[in-house]
Amino acid sequence: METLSYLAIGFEQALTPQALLFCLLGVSLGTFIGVLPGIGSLTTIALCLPLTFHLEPLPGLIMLAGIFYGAQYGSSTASILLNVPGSAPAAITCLDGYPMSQQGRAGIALFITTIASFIGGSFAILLLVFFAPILADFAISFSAADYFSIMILALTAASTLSVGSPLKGLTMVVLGLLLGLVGTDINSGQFRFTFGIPALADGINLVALAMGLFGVAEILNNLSNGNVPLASREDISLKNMLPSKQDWKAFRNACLRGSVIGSFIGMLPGTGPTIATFMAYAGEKKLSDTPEKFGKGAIEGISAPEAANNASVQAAFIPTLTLGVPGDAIMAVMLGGLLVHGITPGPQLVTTDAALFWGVVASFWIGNALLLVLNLPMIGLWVKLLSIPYRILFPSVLFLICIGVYSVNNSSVDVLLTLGFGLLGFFLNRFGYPSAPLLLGFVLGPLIEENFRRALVLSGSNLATFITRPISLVFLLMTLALLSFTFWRGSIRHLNNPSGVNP
Amino acid sequence: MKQAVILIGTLTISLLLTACGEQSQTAVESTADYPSKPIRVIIPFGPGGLADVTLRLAGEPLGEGLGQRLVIENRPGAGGVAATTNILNSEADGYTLIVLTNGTTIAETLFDKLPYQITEDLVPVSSVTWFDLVLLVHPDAGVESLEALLAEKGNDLKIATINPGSTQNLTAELFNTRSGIDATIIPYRTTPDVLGALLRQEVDLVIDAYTALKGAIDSGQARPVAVTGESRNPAMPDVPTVTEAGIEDFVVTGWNALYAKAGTPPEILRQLNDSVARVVNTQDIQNRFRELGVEARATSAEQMQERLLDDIEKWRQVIETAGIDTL
Amino acid sequence: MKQILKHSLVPLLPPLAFILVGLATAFTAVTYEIGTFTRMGPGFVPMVLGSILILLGGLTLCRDRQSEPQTGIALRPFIAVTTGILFWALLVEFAGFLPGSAGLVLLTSLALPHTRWHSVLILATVLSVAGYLLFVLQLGVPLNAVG
Repeated sequence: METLSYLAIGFEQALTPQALLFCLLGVSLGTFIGVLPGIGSLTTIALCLPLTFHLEPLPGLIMLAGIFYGAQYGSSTASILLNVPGSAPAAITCLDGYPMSQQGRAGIALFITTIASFIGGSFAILLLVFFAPILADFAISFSAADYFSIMILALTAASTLSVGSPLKGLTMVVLGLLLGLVGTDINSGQFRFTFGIPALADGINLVALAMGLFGVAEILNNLSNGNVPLASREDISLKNMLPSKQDWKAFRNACLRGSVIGSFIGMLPGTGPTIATFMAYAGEKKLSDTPEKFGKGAIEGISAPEAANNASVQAAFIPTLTLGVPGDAIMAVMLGGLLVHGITPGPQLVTTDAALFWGVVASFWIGNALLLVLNLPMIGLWVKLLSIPYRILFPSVLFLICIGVYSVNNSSVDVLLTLGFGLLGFFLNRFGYPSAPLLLGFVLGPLIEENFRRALVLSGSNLATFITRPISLVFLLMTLALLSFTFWRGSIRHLNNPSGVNP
Repeated sequence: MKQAVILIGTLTISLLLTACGEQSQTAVESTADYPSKPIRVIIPFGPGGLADVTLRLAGEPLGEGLGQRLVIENRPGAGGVAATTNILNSEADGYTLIVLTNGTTIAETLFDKLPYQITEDLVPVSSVTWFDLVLLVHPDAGVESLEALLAEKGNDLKIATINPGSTQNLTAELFNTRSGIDATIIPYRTTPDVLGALLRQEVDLVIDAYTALKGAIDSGQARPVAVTGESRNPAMPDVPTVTEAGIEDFVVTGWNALYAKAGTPPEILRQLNDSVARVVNTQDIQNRFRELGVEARATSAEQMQERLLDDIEKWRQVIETAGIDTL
Repeated sequence: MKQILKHSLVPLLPPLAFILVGLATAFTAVTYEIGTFTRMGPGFVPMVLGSILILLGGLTLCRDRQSEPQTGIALRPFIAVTTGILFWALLVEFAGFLPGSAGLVLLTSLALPHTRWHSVLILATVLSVAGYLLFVLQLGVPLNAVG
């Protein structure tokens, strides 16, 4: 088959010593950056971009891509061990990863997330290799109405994120939606809630919000409780890292589902891994027979999001490489890097520069394999991190958060925002308001509004467009089905357990 | 008590260091030695964008010509505020330069409550890059020319651009005004989104920078029907200008230029202007810029300032007519 | 460690705050164009969300007023972390990366009682220097070491 022969060329290109070296460099740097809270792959790629100008295009691109998907491997490490996410999408992994760590199962959690990441990434790569053109065309056909309906489905995921009062969870979602609106309204150019502050004109920085809400708030929480997390007495032998037989089955299915969701969301331009991760988590919780175990260390609660994470990030290359339409801000930066070499990204890239295209694709698989090899032995090392006394750990984490957030836009305003959100999160958490729904609302809000309004402009103010467009209809029906299913289940449970505590 | 002492100590030390830092910065550098250390060039955009890429390409030979490295610093942020504030906090010694674009002239109106005045606080060195915008249609839409499209669609015309307040978007507004029709301008977030809209044929026309969509044009995904410059683009000799298509008083050309802080010694400015002109006119840079779809051209400082002022006024009128919100 | 007095009215603060935020949002939203449902202006969605927030705040006030904060809020870590991060954010561009970072570590370390100044000073130095090497020199974040 033609694809396979192209793939062979690709591997040939990607297995040269130089390409391998830069692949290794990229994935290692990516993992390292992913572990560090605050600084993320966008910043790193942006900072490394000038370095690639002096390289051949292929090794340069391989390295940057390696940083990108490598970061998704590392970002769950801090989430699991410290309840501080390495990046915004990793915030979901905190929900079940940290409890696992508290139960002395940090090693298993890290092991599972690494494997899940690999499965997710590989799945998306397979899609890329064999179906890229079809999928790219499919992805690009999504119009505003379709995006809207998907985001509405994603919004229903919010209800799965709250442990405790649904009212408070909902309040946080709405607050998140509102915070997402701060900045410039894309449909009209109106500045909203910016109070004359130019730094807010582009909106609130997601990294600042996530790091503050989850990182700083968590640290404040621990310090305030005075119950400094105990040093782990975990046994880090390989035997203890492996999940049990029941774990494997739950794990395998969750990974598959996560990979599918992640790949799908990832290939749609403009969505991002955060949404994919949240949806994968929500999907697991809704489909599970035992949703109560989520939030307390459920295997599915970390495997599906992690698989989705990596799948989405890998799948974002599908429209990028096939159509020259970057699926992500990070892709855009990388394509910009190609410009310097005189390579104009676009669909012709696949044909005119097949060696480059397939070389990069082959390097993905090599990179993911390298990451697996790199990350597994490191698990023991990471778990040892837990034995660092908290009085040394927490200033270090705060420091990393500060410089990490700063480096995104070279803006101290962002760091101040992080502090603000940290305080907000801390106080609200104390009163039973969960943080995860706010993050989801924040990410979804602007997308929902923007696409709703744009869909109406495109259809000439005709509301029917949401039902006449098949994709949109499908997702709206799915949302309806999901809502009914939840109600039905909720009422069955209530019927079976009339005196049961309903949170 | 002990802790209070340490706290005060830390703060004192920091203040002392700040003071020292300022001291060293006010030491006057002799203009005869310029440049004697690397020169910072602040770009109000993130890396990988057009301004970033072209400046980096030009930056190397420029640095060689001047005998010192050019260090590119990205300071993105709405309205170029972060970048401008940064250079205005530096010394006017020629070691910090900033890249202004036609976007800056737009920001003058959009962000009118800023604590600085671009026209007063910065002085021009020279322009570096000039680029056109291009109007594109879907290749299968059966559109012969811009006039034909306007005649056919009239007020039903849908134009996609990137976000309101961008050069592309304001160009579309200007187009609307000058062409006499009332097209619907639909803003998207990024150029890829705009391209997507065209590919889905949910809009009839797309206006964006040539470089951004060069790949799409070359591969046949999009067909140019007009360019916005004063004369035809050498990369697309068959494509008429918007003026040629019958729309009067419509010329939009984007530019990137190097500026320095006001108060920089004129000898240094002259030296910089000479170097930029020399580098920009080399065959290598001319070729590489053309490959990117832009034109490398230097100007005198006076010409640049004139252009800046003209553009500020031009876009101010467009913004007012379009009713776009200002901060 | 000082504790904020547990007053029975304290749990009412968050829902009240939400109501206030909702009101502020709605009032600001009307200054932007509202438009109609099918031709939304920039003020429409903020208006709706602000109203929902008021509603939710009110509901929470009525229903969940029994809940108290899970534990008291200690003042010392709160002040230490806040001043530490403020210090870093405000000074790092003027005083430089090293003093800013050192100050951050020193100030936030005050959050826990019985600060061991030896280890704090070592930590401050190590983090500042290592951070400088990695973020400023290697990755190119535009900050000066000092000044």
